[in-house]
Amino acid sequence: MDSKRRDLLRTAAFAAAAAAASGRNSSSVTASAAELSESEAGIQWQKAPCRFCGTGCHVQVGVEAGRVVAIAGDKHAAVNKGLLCVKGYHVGAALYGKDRLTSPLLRRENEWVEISWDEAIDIAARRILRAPENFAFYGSGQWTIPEGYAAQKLMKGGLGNNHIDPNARLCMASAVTGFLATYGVDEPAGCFDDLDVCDVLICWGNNPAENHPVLFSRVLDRPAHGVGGRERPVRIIDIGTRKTRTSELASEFLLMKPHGDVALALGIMHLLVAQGRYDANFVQKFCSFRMPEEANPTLTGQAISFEQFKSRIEKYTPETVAELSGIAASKIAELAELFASRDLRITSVWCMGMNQHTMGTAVNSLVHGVHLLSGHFGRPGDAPTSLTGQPSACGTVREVGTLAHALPGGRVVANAEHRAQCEQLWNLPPGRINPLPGYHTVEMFRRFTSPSQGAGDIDTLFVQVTNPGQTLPDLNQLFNAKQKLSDKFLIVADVYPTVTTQAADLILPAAMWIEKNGIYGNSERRTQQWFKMVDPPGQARDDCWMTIALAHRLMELGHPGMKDKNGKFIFHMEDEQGNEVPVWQWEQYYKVNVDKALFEEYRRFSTLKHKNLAPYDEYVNARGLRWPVVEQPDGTWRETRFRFCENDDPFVASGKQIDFYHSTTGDGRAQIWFHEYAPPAEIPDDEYPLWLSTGRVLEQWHTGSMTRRIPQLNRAMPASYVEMHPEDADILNLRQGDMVTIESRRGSIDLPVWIGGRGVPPRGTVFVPFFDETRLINLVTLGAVDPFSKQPDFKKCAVRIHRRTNQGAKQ
Amino acid sequence: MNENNQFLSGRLAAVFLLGVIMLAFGGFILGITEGVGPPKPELGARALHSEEQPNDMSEYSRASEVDQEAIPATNYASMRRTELADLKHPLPLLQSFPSQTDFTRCVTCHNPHTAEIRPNETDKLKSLAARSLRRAYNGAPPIIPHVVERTNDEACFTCHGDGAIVGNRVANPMPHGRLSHCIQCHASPPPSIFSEPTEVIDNAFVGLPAPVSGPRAYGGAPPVIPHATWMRDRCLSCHGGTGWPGLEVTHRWRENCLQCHATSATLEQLAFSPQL
Repeated sequence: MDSKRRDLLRTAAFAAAAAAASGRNSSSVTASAAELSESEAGIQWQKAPCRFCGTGCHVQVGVEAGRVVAIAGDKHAAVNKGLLCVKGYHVGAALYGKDRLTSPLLRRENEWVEISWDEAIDIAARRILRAPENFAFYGSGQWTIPEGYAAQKLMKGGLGNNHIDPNARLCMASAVTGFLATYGVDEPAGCFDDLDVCDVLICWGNNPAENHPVLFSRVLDRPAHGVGGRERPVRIIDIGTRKTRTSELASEFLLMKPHGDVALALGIMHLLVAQGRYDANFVQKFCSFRMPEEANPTLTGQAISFEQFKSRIEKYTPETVAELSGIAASKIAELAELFASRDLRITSVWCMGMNQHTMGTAVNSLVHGVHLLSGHFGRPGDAPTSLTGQPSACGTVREVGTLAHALPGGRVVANAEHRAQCEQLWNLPPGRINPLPGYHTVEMFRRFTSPSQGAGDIDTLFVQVTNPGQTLPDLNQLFNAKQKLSDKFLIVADVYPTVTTQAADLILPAAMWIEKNGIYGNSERRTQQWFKMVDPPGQARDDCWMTIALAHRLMELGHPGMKDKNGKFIFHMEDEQGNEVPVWQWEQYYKVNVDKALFEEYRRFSTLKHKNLAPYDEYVNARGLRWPVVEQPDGTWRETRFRFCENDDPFVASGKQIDFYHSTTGDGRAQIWFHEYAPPAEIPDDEYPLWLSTGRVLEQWHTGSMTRRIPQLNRAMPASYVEMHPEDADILNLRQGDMVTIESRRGSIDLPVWIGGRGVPPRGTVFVPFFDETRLINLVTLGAVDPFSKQPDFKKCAVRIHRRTNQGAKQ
Repeated sequence: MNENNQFLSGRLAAVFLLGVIMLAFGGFILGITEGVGPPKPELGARALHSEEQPNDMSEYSRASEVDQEAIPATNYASMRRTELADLKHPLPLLQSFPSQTDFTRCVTCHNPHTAEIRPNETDKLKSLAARSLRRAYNGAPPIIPHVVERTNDEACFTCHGDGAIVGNRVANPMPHGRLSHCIQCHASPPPSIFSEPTEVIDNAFVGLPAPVSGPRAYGGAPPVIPHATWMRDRCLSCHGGTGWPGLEVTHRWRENCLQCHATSATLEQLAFSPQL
């Protein structure tokens, strides 16, 4: 239906242009010329980072008569150099799904009632006031930096409540803990420039061809673009539990067992040490060794000597590792040989495979360790770099610190000095910030979906810019159980109806992407700004406005935390004349640039951990800048490509070569960790004999709430499926396209079988993407989390599959 | 049809009539379908060649010499089901080109004495309409409008590398250099595995329409290029012999297009405007 209607619209638009030409035969050419120049003049092009993944491509958005009509890759953007992926080219249509939410909706009985914004904000505020300590805020790596900062300030600075956590907990929390454990500070030292010059690219369990396509083709197309200046072609080694589109395009594919990455990293380190081919000079100057404490392990761990490290990894011989990882001993030796070659430049990239892992922190630390031990660090092309899946997982979550334990600028709530610093910067009375870390995502939802009389001390939850009803693991337990509890209140701000809004008690219609001002931070520390270009539909409003309006209403209702030490509103904004602008009134919201005001306030935190940000206007004039951005004597602002390196990082003193200036040991050294291999949390057995891995596909982005509404993308990948190995299918007597039930101890769904599809899992493994809200694979997945990062493992659980029995699909 | 006429010119009238009836019947059947016949089982170089030499088995015998082991029969479970064509988006039919003999125009580029080509305005509008159906807006990478068995680069390059005529279809050559991972930008048809209806949500996006022609400074002046040339630097892909009917250049022997046809600095993003 929709495509017919759309075609009609398009044909009408086309006919209008065509009529101009064909109507006047003799002068058709000149007439259409006039039309063209008119229409060309009508289109305004403006920059914005793409709405989707963490790569952070810049697009040029073509706007005509208040609507987006075209998208072009931004040629001046260093990240993508004019190229986009299929999602990026169609990002403009993400605004125009026919079912946009356009007015606040309140659930009364089992009916949705349209209410006014004033009423909606009032209901939310009163609900919070009932018991501010039982309120939680669940945010997103798709929050803009000012949105996340405002939410952070409302919760930790205003309500003195640390129950704020983002969906990024499900996404890159283990990358954060890996960086913290190794370098004492979060986020990669390298950047995307490494991809242009590396000789070897190792993909540790990720599928960049589908999930970071522009980055991957930046490597693949190096010969075509003449990039890199190095004669040797790049060798791409893909290590994974399933053959993917990346494996097809890579030079080599190494199939590993689940958790094989932990064993592999240990095995490489063992060979480097045993053969004496590690970089002794680098290790001696810049590294120390570490392992977790026996009891109550922490991210700082306990110091061990090189000899202790050596004896601990001794047992990870190629043969043992081959057994644990399924990778041939000769291949492990080959990888060690690569790392032993100091003249090669090796870049490692990873994403969800290493992060959504019950040993996520361990494997992240171990891969950093492989690079440090071999000295493949700190030269262009030599870098361990984690990639992010959301456009501002780095910017908003990691830098602003919208996590249950964190404060902006790399501060943590548990540290009294840090709290005092924040209270001072926020001009709050001392003691306002609560020293106890809040609930991390899984815990937050466990408490929200448990009865309030028991362990369920979260009763009001505000969800912005994310869709936990689809992305949480073990959905029956962690999300759907809410439906039975009448005293829980779920507030959801979103742009489209989702599984999450279906369960909501109050729905707030949100503005998205270029319907508002925004700032994102991508995977390579690049902060990117854009301006509002079109109006949101109906009564949809900015998420940041919602937070400010909520704070103001709380203040009106008498919550003392909404004022600073001097009695001013915590989101007090002034115009150039110094008059207060009531930004909590929507009509006044764009009278000042709220984004700029919040960013300038937030920027003061950024210097606390050498993540210096430039003033807002510098970002207006750039296609993003990579922090630390430091002012030069001539008044210009310089970005940093390679952190901790004397030749590029302004905070490394000359002569030091490398300085890990946030070292957890305070001596400028990074930590090379030892972690013992441990098996996954759930392993296939006789009852549930197959591994289930979940993930993403090229055409759909995350839960599909945007991409499933874009006809070109949805046509290409309209629904979810289960990828199976042909022999597994054969054993179960299944044919291509047969409907099966996939079942775990936690739940089940029905899916069609795809044999020899885009990805090919090995025997004994099946793969299901998670984008399809009509077939929720997270009913099946496991809620087990990494002990440090609290990130769940969506990549491994045990399932069984049988042909769907009854015709009526059970949900 | 021309082919038929030529073929029949020396034959008996009865055979001619039979031919006409069969053609009409065939046309009727084709007409009540959605207009496109079922695809060849395997699109690709092999299919193209085997059409020319249907009885040549030498390739197979050579293969069996090299590999003495018997090839196991394909398991039905592991066979790909041929994917359904997305028939809403018609491909340019060979018949829609002015005439069969026009394909001798391939040599046009190398023969400056060929008669002038006069693109037909009606064809052009038809082509523009068909083009607009397979892209979200003018400038968007077109979706893959036809059946694909495989979506790896080799499969795409086989026909679109240098352009090809496959059966009665024209595969345009890529308008850009060889870049890897075609489906990174070009959305493929859905996998064939979905036998049950999948959900579709309506979208109101209306893309920028394609310009009907480039503006001219005065009558007879060379028109400027009304679109960006980024990723479209091989003009003859669309404006050459296997391009779209009605969009062909009138003077294919001139190869340096940009000598006369100016590009737009705005569309090419030539000037770096920080905020824009």
